Amino acid sequence: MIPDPEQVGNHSPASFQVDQSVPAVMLDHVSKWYGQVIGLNDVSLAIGGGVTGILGPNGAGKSTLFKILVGRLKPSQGTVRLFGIDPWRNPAPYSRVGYVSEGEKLYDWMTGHDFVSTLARLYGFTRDQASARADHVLEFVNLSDVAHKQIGKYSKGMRQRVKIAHALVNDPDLIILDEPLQGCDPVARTTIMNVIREIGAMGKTVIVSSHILSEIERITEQIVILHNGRLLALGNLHAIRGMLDKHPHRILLTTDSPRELAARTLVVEEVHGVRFPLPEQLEIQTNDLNAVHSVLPSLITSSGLRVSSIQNPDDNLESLLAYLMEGRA
Amino acid sequence: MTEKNRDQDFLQTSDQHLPVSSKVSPTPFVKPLPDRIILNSVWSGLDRKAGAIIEFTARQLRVRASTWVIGTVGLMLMLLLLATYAEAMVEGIDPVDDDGDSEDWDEDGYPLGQERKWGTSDWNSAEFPGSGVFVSDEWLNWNQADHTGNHTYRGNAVITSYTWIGSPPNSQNKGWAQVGNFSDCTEYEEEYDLQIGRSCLTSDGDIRFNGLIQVNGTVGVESEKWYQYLEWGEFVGASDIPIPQDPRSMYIDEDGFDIDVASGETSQGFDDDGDCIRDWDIISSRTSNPEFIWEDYFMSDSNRNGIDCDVELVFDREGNLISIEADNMVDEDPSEDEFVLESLHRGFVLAVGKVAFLFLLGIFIPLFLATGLIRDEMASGTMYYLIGKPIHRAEFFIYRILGFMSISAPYMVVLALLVGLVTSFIGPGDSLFRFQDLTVWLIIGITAALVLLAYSATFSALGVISKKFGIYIAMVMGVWEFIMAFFSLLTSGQSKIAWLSVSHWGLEMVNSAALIAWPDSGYYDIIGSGLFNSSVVFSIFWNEPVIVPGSPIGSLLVSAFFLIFYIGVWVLIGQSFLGRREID
Repeated sequence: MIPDPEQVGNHSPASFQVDQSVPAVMLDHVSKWYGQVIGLNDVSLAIGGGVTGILGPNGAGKSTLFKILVGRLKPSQGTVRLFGIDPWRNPAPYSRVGYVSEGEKLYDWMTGHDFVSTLARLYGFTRDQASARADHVLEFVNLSDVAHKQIGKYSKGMRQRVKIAHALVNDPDLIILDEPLQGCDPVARTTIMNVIREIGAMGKTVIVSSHILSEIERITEQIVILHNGRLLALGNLHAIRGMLDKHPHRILLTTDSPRELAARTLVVEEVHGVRFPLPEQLEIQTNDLNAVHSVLPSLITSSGLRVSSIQNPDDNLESLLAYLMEGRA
Repeated sequence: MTEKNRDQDFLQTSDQHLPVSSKVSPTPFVKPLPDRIILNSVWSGLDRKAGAIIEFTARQLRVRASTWVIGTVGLMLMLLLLATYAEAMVEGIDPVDDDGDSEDWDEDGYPLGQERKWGTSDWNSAEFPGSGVFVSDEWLNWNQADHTGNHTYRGNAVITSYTWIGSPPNSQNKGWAQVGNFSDCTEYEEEYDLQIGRSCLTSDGDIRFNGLIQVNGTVGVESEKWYQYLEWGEFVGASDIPIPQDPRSMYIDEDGFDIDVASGETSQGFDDDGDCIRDWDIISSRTSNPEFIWEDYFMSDSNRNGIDCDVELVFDREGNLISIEADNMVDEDPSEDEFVLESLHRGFVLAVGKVAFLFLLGIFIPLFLATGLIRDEMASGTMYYLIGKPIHRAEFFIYRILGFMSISAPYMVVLALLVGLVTSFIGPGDSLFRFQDLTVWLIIGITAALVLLAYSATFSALGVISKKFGIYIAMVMGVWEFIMAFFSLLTSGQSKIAWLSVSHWGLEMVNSAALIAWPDSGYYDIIGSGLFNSSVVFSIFWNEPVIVPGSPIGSLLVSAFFLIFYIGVWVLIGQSFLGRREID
């Protein structure tokens, strides 16, 4: 092999036929131990098509799962297949995979365009092809105007987007995004979420992890829940929402007159009870969160009482996990 | 997947083991873009991947401060060495009196070389060319008190009776004791010593003297005076006409090398200044016992080969010069410009090639820049950007090293060219440019590249083997190589322990290159270390290749193949460990 530093020649692409019967990702009884610590515990899973959210608190095994998928880690037990191929033994499937890790480290001395186009050449693209593709994906993630600035000068959201751009440059069939929204401001989150949705709409398989339920909810309905390295559940997020709604929920209001407001809310049929956790707080207990939320604004307005905040402490991943764990028990 | 299905799926948890296929979404429909490249295997498009990683690595090294620091230090080192070299070459070497015969130890105005030729002592100011010399025939034994006869005596003694006493007229030798008009000895002179050339009358009526004197009578020593002595013989070589004093500069660089190694003659050399041969006719005419003049009369054949005043060249069966044995005072004081400058030049080329290129830059550049080629990427968490691609880790390992080489090898070549061009232009010799040196520099460049590659493969592999301790193991190896390099240098490559180092094989290649470019290297080495102690630079930095004795090309090739083999082994080790390494 003689290196081709110019890389301007025409490449005749060798077509890799997609096996329609094989899912993009398949794990069969996969476990991973770090010494005495278990990272992933007997996980069996198949994913293909659309956006799938991997939900789990920190330490649930999301990153371990991704690292196994992209061949960074070797599973201690079980079988992993990317497009039917073991990624630990053979990196060939990476030609169809884009991966964004949770780490923030980038080559700060490179420009965004350099970064994306240089790494694109590792897929076998010529220099010109790689450059054109870099332009394309940087535009897709809304970074065209800063493409030739050094990455070191990028904001956190830009850094995440350039990582996503690099993962898209090979037009992958499978995109794995590990906590892509972590640390981003609201504007960047919205942009990245839109990007992920668009990719999903293009028919790609996208796997995106997060430990924030509301984030995943805005991106996809298909979720996988991991907890303590185990696969807790997988399926549709709407369904889980429905299940949660049938479970006791709390609504926490901060007001100057919690008792007065409590008297007014207790007339609502769906309200089961109230508590006063703090002198200025009212906790409403209900089984039908949506029904209470639909009447709450008019009730507050008509009462003329001042309410400074309304929170749903149970509408988060922890509550979801607690519920699921309860169900398992 | 319908809503209903999704609801059902949700209720299935991992505790309820399901066939994987039942949870699989419909297989994605993938519509490839027209220009999309999907590689059949990781072994496709290698040239492009190699180009990308090599270029990336080179750019990465270029933006690192440590690269510039090391590069600048290396450049400054070379410039410093070049400045020293240029100063020596431009100013030339001051003529050195290698045999010391320009000295005038007795300060009589005649340098040692002139006195040597005339057979007079340079340690006795009374004696000098033309002054004549006393040649002893016999001396007073310990149990003798006196001697009677007509002789020329030399001593510190007493004349008890005489029929005739005198000294040669017009003798310039200041050793003659005064005769006639003897004054009385002082009390001190009678009891103790006299000055050279002094004589006096004792209270007993005897004559005390110290020096030369011609007497026909009885001369002896007083038994209680231990400092008195007496010998008798002849006084020869006195000239009526004063002999002009030679300038001291005449005895500097007056006896150059008259050796032609290529001729194959075993007896060569010529005593240009005549201090070995001396003028035996003259000396013989001055004394009947020429063997008793003050020099060792064997000096004319001190190499014991039966030929006076020659240089014996000893060749082995293959015709290689293995030793040079010269008679004393033959070819002993060559011109510094002719020999030392050439020897210094070659010594400089080899010293820079070996110490600066192979030892310092060859070891330290990879130690600082190559150890982290893989390790730093793993530590910083950026490794997956590079290997999370359809590229085999074994490929990646090689490309990273090649990337390092793409920066370090041109740097070495530029430095070697810089030093090579400057030294070839201002080096000694009649031609404007020393073309023969280019061979040496070319092989120094190739060797430096091989050594860089060997160390970078080793240190990179060590960085992969142990993320935590790799750098320390590499440092220990670097120190080992450094010590072995000097060990090999000092033992002229004979130490078998040094064979266990990369540096030894690199040195062997440079030694071979020197012998190919300068076939008379053996001559310079032997002369430098054996006969001519003032010029040992070349001898220190060069030795005969030892891997294939007698064949510099053989040694060169074997050493190069060994280094390539060594590189291959470490690349395989690095690839193997990287292939199995988990990257957190």
